[in-house]
Amino acid sequence: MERLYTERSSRRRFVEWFLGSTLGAVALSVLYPVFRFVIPPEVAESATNGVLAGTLSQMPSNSGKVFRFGSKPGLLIRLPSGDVRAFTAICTHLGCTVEYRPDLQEIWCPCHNGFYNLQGVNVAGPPPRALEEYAVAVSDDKVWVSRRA
Amino acid sequence: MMLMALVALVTARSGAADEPPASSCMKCHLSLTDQLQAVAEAFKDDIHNQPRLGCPACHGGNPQAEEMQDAMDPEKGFRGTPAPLQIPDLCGGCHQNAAFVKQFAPNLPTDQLSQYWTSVHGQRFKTGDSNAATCVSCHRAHGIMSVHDTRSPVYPTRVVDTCASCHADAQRMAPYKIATNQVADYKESVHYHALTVANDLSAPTCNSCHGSHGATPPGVQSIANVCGTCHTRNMELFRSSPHQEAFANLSVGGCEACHSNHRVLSPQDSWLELGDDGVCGRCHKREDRGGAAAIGMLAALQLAVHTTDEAKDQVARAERAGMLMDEADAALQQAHQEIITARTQLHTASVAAVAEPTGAAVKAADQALAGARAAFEEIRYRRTGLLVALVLIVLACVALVLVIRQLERPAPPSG
Amino acid sequence: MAVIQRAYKFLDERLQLEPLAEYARHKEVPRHRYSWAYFFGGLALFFFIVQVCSGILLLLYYRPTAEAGFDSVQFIMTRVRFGWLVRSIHSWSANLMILAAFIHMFSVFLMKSYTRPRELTWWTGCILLALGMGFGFSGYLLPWNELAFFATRVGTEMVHKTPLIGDWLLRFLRGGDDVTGATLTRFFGFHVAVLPMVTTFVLIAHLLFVQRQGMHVPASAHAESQRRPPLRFVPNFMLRELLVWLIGLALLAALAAFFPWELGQKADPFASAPANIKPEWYFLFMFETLKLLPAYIAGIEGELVGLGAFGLAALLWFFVPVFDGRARQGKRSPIFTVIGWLMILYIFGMTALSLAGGLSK
Repeated sequence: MERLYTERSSRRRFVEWFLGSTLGAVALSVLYPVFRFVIPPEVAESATNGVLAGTLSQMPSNSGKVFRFGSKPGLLIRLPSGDVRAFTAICTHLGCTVEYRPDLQEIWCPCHNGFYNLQGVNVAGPPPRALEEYAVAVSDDKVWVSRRA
Repeated sequence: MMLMALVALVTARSGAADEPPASSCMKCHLSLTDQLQAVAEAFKDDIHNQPRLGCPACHGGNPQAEEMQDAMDPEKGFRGTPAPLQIPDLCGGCHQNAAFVKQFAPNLPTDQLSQYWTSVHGQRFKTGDSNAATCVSCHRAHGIMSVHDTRSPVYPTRVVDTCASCHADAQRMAPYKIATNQVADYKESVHYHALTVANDLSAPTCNSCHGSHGATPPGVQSIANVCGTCHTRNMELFRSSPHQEAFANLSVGGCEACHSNHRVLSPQDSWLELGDDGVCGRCHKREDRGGAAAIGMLAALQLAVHTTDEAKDQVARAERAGMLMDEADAALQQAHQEIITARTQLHTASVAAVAEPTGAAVKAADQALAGARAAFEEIRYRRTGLLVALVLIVLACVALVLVIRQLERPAPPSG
Repeated sequence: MAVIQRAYKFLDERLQLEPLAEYARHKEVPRHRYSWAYFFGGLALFFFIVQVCSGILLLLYYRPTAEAGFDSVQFIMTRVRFGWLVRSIHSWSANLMILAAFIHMFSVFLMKSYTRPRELTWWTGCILLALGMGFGFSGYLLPWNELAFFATRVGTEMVHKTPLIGDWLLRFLRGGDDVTGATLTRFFGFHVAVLPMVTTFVLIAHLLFVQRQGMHVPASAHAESQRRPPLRFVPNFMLRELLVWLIGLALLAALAAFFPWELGQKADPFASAPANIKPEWYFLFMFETLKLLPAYIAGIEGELVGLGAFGLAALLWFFVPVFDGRARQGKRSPIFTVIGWLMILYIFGMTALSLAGGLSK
């Protein structure tokens, strides 16, 4: 055995080294993704639940803005009273994107002249249903919008 | 408890609690045959079939009297079947009386009769034409129901067939020289489709544009206003366009000229073409300013639509491959909305007004496309990474085979 | 190498590993024309280990509720780094594990390795296969997508037909009368706690039996195995097994990269079932058989007869070491070889038929 070892030592050592390093490389290629996997991503929560819709300082009273909620548009409104509300921006009539009309203090759909009040309830024109309202949470300057439970 | 039982017994005796005590008119007529019975049957569902109204409201007579002579005594106020020319005043006798109507339906309008006199039907009626439509032509004489009742001939989805009973009848309309294609045209329109297929009760039917009681076709100048009660934006933009004045001078109806009045179909971008199939081409040529504007608007719109469609395809492909395309979807939604805005802005007949939203649409579509490209890039990166891993594994396999062979190599002769 | 030797010495001093090491050094694996089949058990074990590891990783982000289940899987696939890889690997490895287990079982059957003295190994093996399919069935629901939801509904509906205990069994599985969030919670509990615990014990027993008794040589290869020198278990067989595992890993990586597992649509219990609900492929042969049975057979509901037949077949299969007298005596057992091949053809054929869309009715 010893003779075999010394005679073949260089060849054998190379083969063993080759095996060791390739197995090590395979192990690394397995462990690297595992390592990155266990570190949580920036958005730590799985959610179509919470979205940062905007900041208070950028929203004067009696103004509205369209923001992205998942893959769909949402409407964020700052009431004249200073309160913040959020609704889906998809009109319940034929799906156009609604907007906030500060002059009328109502939500308006430009497609067929539909109107919703500040509770999201359809009040005039063709829309058959109210706009779904979202839950709003304000922390620091940030406005978080999430689906109601 | 005993008292309640007694009350229950009494009300049970005189019929179900909801129905009014049966008048002698109803009791008798229901036992007759043919038309005389039919009117009573129909009246069962009539909205006037309630206490203080009932048959006597229009026919007079005594609903308590059991004998026909008593009940139908002209001396005692029985009026019999009203003549066609008496109808409007008969109905209007109550319905114009706000104080009276308020006792039954506090918010029911009471201007129907005065509206009627302004209508074409009313005008003709005044000339003594007994063929002209009156209240019962649309509401029926017996079995009148609320406009909110789906069985009523004036329920939104049924209005067109009610109007059609005269207006689609060529023989009937011949003396008045009124065309009879309106109903057929309307039934091809997007409005009819919205009403009957999409169940959108806000969609317009005959009375939406012509008025219910004051039924009159809107004058040429008024068409834009009428359409504009729903399509406000388009009306505003049209008014600001050179077409407003030009059409008025030519006595051409505003919206009607391009969209038709009854056969309102889904407008196509190809309408902007100047060839035979184009709508703009009906008046404009390449050389004139309008023609150039049409060409410019069409080009802007086609670019936006084409870019958006391509982006939509790519995003769908990426989604099918398992990638999350939320941002791209949102961008596509925006592009779609901008294209709707651009198509609305067409009514200004201004290339600049159309180019602004189409530009925004192209930008959003490009964003979505970039998102899709990034997704494909990510897929490629993943496949490359896995290919590398595979190569490493194959190398490790090779190393293993070498080691195995090394181990099992027969021992060399000593020395 | 020196490190390994030092570590061994350390442990040996404390745990007396030398007798075990001696046993391992002398352990041999026979070689013959069917000995390639010996690797499949280990391969199934490899895929199981992959499942445990990838499953634990998924557990870090998965949420077992009807509201969040789908979203959390979507989150893993789209936001967590390499989440798509872990999930795809978990889904593919499940299938490869069951496939390897089936191949292992059928090769064992055809080689008659179930016979005395290895009955216990066969029985624990059958239980392991059942546990594996239980893993598959419970895990399939967890992403809470349309296909999974309806497949689970149909699958659990089947148990309802069991006489006497059908109702109880249904409510036990579903956590209620219908498939709801309660079902999901329950299946999750089965999948990550109950089944792993039971499987661990049965697996350890199965492996201990195999190690203790060594490999069985089929009667037809007996002469050859005597002629050819056996493989030493350490390190020769183990290195070969490692090679097979690496090939398995390569296959897994390729599948995960080029055929990533779909997410599907979130389950909507009030929507009508999509047109082609099918269970996972390893249930397809049963699914297809039940579809082809007539509505009534001799007055009994066709599906009940089918389920009864499956139950009976499983029982007979389980007790095959008892029935196969010839194998017990070390002789060739052609009848059981034929039965084995018929079973393989039946399962293969029905699965293929189901995948091809079934017969048009």
